[in-house]
Amino acid sequence: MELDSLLSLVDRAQEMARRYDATYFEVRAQLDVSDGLFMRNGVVEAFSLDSTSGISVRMLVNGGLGFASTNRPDSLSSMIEEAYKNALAASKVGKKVALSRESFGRTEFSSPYRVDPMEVPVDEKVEYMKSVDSPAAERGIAARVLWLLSSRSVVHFVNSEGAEVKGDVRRVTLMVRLTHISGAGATQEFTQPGGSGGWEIVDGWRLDEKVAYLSDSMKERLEKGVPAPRGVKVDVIVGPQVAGLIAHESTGHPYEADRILGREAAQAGESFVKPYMLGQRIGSPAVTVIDDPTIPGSYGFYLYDHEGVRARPRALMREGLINEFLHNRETAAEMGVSSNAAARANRFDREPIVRMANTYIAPGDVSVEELIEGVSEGVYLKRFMEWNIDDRRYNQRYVGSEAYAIRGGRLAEPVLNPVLEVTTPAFYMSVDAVAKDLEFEAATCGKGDPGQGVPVWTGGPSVRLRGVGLGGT
Amino acid sequence: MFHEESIGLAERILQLAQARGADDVAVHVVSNGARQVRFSNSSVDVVKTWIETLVEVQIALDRRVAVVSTTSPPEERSLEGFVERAFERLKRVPARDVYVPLPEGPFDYPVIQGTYDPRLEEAQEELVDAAKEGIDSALAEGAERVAGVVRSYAGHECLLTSGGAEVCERFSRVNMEVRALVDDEATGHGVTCSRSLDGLDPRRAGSEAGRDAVLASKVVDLPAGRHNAAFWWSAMTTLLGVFGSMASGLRALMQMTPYVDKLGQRVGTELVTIVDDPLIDGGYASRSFDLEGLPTRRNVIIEGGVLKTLLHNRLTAAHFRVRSTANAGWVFPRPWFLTMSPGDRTEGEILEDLGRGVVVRNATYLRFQNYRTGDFSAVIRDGVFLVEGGEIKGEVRGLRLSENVLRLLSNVYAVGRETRQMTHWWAEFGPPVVTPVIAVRDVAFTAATA
Repeated sequence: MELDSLLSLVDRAQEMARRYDATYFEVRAQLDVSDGLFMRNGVVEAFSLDSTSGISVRMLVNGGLGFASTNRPDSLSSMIEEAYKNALAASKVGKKVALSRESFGRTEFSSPYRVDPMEVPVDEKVEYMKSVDSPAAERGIAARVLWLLSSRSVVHFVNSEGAEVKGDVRRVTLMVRLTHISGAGATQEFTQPGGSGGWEIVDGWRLDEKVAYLSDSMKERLEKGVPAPRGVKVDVIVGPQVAGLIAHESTGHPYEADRILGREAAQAGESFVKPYMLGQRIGSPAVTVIDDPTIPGSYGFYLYDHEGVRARPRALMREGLINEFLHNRETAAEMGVSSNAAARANRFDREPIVRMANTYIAPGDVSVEELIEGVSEGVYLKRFMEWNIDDRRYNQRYVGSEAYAIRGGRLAEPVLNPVLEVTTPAFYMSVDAVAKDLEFEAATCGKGDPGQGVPVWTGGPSVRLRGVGLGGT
Repeated sequence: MFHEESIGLAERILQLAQARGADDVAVHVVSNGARQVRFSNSSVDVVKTWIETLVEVQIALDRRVAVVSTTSPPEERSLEGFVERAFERLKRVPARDVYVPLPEGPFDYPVIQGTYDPRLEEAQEELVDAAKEGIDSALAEGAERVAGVVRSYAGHECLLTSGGAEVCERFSRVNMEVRALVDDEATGHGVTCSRSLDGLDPRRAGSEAGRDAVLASKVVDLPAGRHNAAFWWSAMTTLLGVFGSMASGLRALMQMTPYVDKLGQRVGTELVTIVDDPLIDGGYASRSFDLEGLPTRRNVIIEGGVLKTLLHNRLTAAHFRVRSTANAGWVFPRPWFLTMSPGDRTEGEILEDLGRGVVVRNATYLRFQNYRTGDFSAVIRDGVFLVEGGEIKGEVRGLRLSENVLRLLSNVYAVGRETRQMTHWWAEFGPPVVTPVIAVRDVAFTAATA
């Protein structure tokens, strides 16, 4: 559906939805377009141009929640009827859903840009990718895979309580995956800068320099790396990339109220965090974790969520205390609070569910060098490849790619695949200092059924942990 | 959208692309009506319906390749713009180093029975009833609360190529996952899936999930380390997906698989035979054509432990100087429907042979430290049981599977005789599967050190 004709359907859908005896309805028209370039070892394997557009309705009838969507203007009426029937069916066997009371109005937001990333000529993008690939090629990195994605998401949302929100966000991201092979050894790296706005944001990434750095680091560790310590308690400093992932996985996800309430139990799981734990200590006073959709230029940027609620920064953990959960209107009502605008849907035919945006450990005021100087024997786990965390978000594992031994307050030789396998409270309670080198990476966070990948930033500074164990295998 | 409409749309797009001088064109149109019932805390949360229409076009021009897709069928007046946008950009893309044209027909497509049940076009109450039956069955086994999802899909899929392929097939699928909980940590998981409504078995899925959740509520100790382990059907859905998808030819070119340079070599024990078989009648993921127009076929990936083939589309096949295996997705060759050949052991015999070992019911969140070497770890859940003397003693908590693809395959010492058709919500690596239970010697399990 073309954008204009899609947006023109919103009023019609709203009029049709009013004819049903729903206690609440919302209409969301959404267009997501993207173009992608997939390059392997300097050669473009394929170019892609994708478009997803349509309209959805969510209805609340007798406490039952129904959702339906269509991508065809001629089936608008049947789509709304379907949503009503679904809500009715849910009301007969389901729980009674309520939505939190919010104040709504008419508003618009967008991501400012100078050069529309969707309009940049393909050959200019290819040249940029080659400039990123070249430093790795020149250093003999055997396999280089780059995927550049430019996208635009346009949303027009209305609901039966007076909300009308128009959003228009452009994004750019570049995924880089490198494999270095030397003799029988192989090592890999991954990085993904990204942000919202125009094509001009790629200039700030200085990705050619980063790829050169990563290539040199991979070569160095295959030549000089020694096995990482196993089964010992040492001090560990995790770098910004690792800290950002930890903030996302072990604070962001377990603080999603739908997980806490059990709605995701079938697949993604629940949470070790319970409603009564608000205000309890989970980490040292050095740790504050924020999720903030409103950061200008961020990959997870938005100012109003997909339920029309105004976004704001959310301090999930403040100085080690559990401070706030992530809510949509359904979970907020169930816990007796207001929504904090965490409802997101990645395309028109998905229901909005509780999601993160840009989750990060707040920076401290010391330098990385000062963190290192304070370690007599330990490991600097600067970057990772492997990670996972259990479905309660309690027991997690991060295996380093770039990592170094620390001796006498100084970085020493590279160490191979150090394993940090730790519980969430043990990680956060062992933090004694946080540096000021805050960095963000882009990521696509997966959740929901059908699966919804949404753009997020994960962020953090270097973080020092005292006396944690390094695991094995 | 009716399939006549889909073919008509595909024909118009093909003509427009050819008129602009395209060397090769493939148009894929999918129309899918999807329904879903999600439940948690033993109660339905939401009932959803959505219509998925997907129009995908691969266009090749002077050794350049573009893939264009839209979820909205372009209206007649905007068709030219849809094609033109692809051409505008394609002309600015550098040429590929290796290119071969789309396969030329005529093609003789296999006829696969039992892949469409018209009742799944309209099933709504039936899905709600299935959810209730799954919930009740789990509760009857002793579960305290039950979560899950029932999904149905019905529609058609058509492909038209400049190589002469013109094929359409109707499909329907229904599947259900049930997760039963006794407390926060004692969980069980059950799956049922089919191409027809009658093939869905919510009672079994619910009962198995409920039974395992109750078994998991008794906690026993087992230290991290190496233990013999048996991977049950849900765990195998994830693992077999990895074993099979690592055979993608593009993964080999990207150095993203441990199978690089292993063709013809032993990668597993003689008990390991893995086949991509999209020709099974009634198979959940069976299909008759790939996206380049080739008729699908049975590909033996690993036979008796020896890696026999990688999976190719025409472009990766050209890199390796072999023929396509009819596994073309648009860019990535991929398995369609992985099967592992059954062995001769009953599940009871596998438990007895374990000695003091571990049964892993489910595995998710599998992530690689190094795709090239095959080192990975995965979260294991929904029943990680200590077995002694052929009996389940209780659940071991906090373990993680920390292994290597080749080491796992090389330590398989028993394979179960019962195979199950399975799907898994966590399907980052693989398609649906038909899998037995397997037993593996000296599997590495790790745990948090703090």
